[in-house]
Amino acid sequence: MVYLFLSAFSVVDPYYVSFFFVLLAAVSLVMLYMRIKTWGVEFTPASLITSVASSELKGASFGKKVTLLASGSFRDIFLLRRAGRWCEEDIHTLGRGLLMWGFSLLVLFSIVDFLISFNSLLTYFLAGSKALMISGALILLLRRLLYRNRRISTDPHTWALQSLFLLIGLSGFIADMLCFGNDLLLFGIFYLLYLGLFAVFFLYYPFSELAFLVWKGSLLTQESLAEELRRIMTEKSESLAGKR
Amino acid sequence: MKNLNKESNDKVLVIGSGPAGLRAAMDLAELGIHVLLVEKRGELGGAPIRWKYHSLAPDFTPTEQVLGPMIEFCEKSDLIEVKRNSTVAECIGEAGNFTVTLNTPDGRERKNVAAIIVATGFEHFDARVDPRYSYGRAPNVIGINELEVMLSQGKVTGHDGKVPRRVAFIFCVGSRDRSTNPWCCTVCCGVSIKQAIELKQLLKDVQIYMIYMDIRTIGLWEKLYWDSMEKYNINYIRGRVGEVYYTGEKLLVKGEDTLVRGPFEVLFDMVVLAVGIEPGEGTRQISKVLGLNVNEYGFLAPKIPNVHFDSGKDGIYLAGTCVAPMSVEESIAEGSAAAMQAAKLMNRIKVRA
Amino acid sequence: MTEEKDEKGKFIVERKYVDDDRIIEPDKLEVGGIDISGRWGTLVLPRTIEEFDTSIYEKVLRLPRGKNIGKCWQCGNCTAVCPVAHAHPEFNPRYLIHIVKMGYRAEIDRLKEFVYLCSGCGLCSAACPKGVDPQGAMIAMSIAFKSKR
Repeated sequence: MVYLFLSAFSVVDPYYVSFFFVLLAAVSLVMLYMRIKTWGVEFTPASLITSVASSELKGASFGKKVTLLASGSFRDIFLLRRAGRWCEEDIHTLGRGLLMWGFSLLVLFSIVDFLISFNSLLTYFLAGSKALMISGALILLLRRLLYRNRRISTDPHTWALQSLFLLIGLSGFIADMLCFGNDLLLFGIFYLLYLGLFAVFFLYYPFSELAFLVWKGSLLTQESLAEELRRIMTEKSESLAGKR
Repeated sequence: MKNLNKESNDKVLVIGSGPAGLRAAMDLAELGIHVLLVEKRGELGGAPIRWKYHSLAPDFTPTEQVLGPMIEFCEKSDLIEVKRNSTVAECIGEAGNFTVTLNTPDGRERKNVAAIIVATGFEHFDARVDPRYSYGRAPNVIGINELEVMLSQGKVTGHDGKVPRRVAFIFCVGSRDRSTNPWCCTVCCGVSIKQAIELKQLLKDVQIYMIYMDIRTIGLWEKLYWDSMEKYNINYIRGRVGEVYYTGEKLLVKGEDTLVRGPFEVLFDMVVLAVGIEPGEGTRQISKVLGLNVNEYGFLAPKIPNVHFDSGKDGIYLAGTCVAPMSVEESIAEGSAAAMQAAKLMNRIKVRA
Repeated sequence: MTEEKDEKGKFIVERKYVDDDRIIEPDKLEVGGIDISGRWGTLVLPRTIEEFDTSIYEKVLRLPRGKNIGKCWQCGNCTAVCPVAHAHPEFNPRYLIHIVKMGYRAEIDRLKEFVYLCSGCGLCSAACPKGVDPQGAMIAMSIAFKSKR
């Protein structure tokens, strides 16, 4: 229903917005590729996909590899394996976790939203994922703001990135809350702010430490996948040897 | 012509013309008190002049700027009688009335003085005593005193005249060691790092490695340590050196890198040893002549360790590195402190007279 | 009683001097007509450093967040507060910075996989007295160890 209202504001036609996001994502991916190449390393997000698709990584069928990748990614993102669960810095892990959950769910629900033609069923789910993002970003920011030594030693890029996440979450959440109200102008302002901040995020993140985290995450996923396949191979050959 | 009242008892004997002795003599003369300044070497100025210190830590103040005015004052002052190449052979009497016998180039001389300030300074540790470093046997193994001379001449080369490409500084040579000297020389760390910086400024491409046990850049001298790493790219290896071996071309330094918990062996072109401060022959001799207490390390022992000028004997005051290792700025301050005590004594005598 | 004795001192991380990677077992090894086949540890590496290898150090310095590692004076504040180091002793920010600066390649090869354990919490950079930014150094090293430039 909200989007029917919004169609009056043709600039926020949801299909235009989707196109806008896809375009931004594509541009930022290109920028990410160029940035990672300046480090002299391979572009691991791409090599991860190709290693799953190709027959280079032996030990399992394509379907099996995809399953392994999916379950691995689920563990990494939703069970916070990548967020540093292996150490005791719980607040940091929690903040990162909430942020990752929030962002992943936002992406997921947005895609579903597109598929069900934006019939506003998912508005509360979208708002909920933004709330997760807000709490995650807030924890990460306060964790650094409230301790003098951490505050003065934090890299400006870290402040920028975490603040961007917070502001995106806040503006999006407020827009979602306002979309059922009467004040269309106020809603419009926050929604446009949300879109603008997201644009800033997409254009900025290749130059922040998020670029490094994406590269590292893909690299480690690739290596753990290879490890997993090697393990399967050894098990297979051992069980074959045992059968003889 | 200097107007010297040879028979006056209103005279203070200052033994040693290093920073402490010079400062004491200057302060007393500026108060109008006669001074007899006895120096066993041929020139005034003590260690900074003898070893031609290029500059002083921590701010690279030229030695000339600090010592020059003091030496000039003492040489020109009407109230200071300077005796070069002279030592104190005997001393009898008490505060206010000492009779000292000097050995001078012109023969023995007897003088009457009211107070004595002992500022006989230090000697650098002779690294031949510690054969680990092949000092005196291998070429291009030098002490920080010898490097200082080269720096003040603006030319640092090995024995073959070639410019060194890689230099090691080894800290704590002849100090903090029961087998040589158990004390810490206080200033070696700061001085070595100062020299490393000057070496880097002189030879732009030289690689310098400081092999240390602890870094003790005292007080405001800490800046030298930070700058050496952050501005001059000087490398630090925490560890000790077991042997310096001359391969015929280069010096092989064998030691342990504590942080890696493993051995290292590196070829260097030159090795500089931070040879520390130890009590010199002059201090030993004067302690016997004046009957002064000497502590377990051989330094002159004040009555209370925290009050250096008080020797425990009335009328005899101590100042500078003959009491404990210290920096030039501290020696200068101690010279003034001893001069103050001597001046107070002179005042008491004048009041009584 | 024996059990207590066995556990004492176990928290010290010992370094192995015999590397599993450098044990060879050729099928047949003959030297000067004498058969010396068997399992051999090839421990012999040159000991004397003739030139320090600064290539990795320079790579790390060039990457934006690694530019301050020259300031590190190996105090160990970073490792002391690092939560990962307490769970995985092989991840030691102080030591990783040291071996990169000194160019000790054998140690770098032994430990380079552990640098990816860094959780990015930033406690090290907060504790560092010199402004080395070990968090940034870990990021730079993660890239440098895989970089071909």
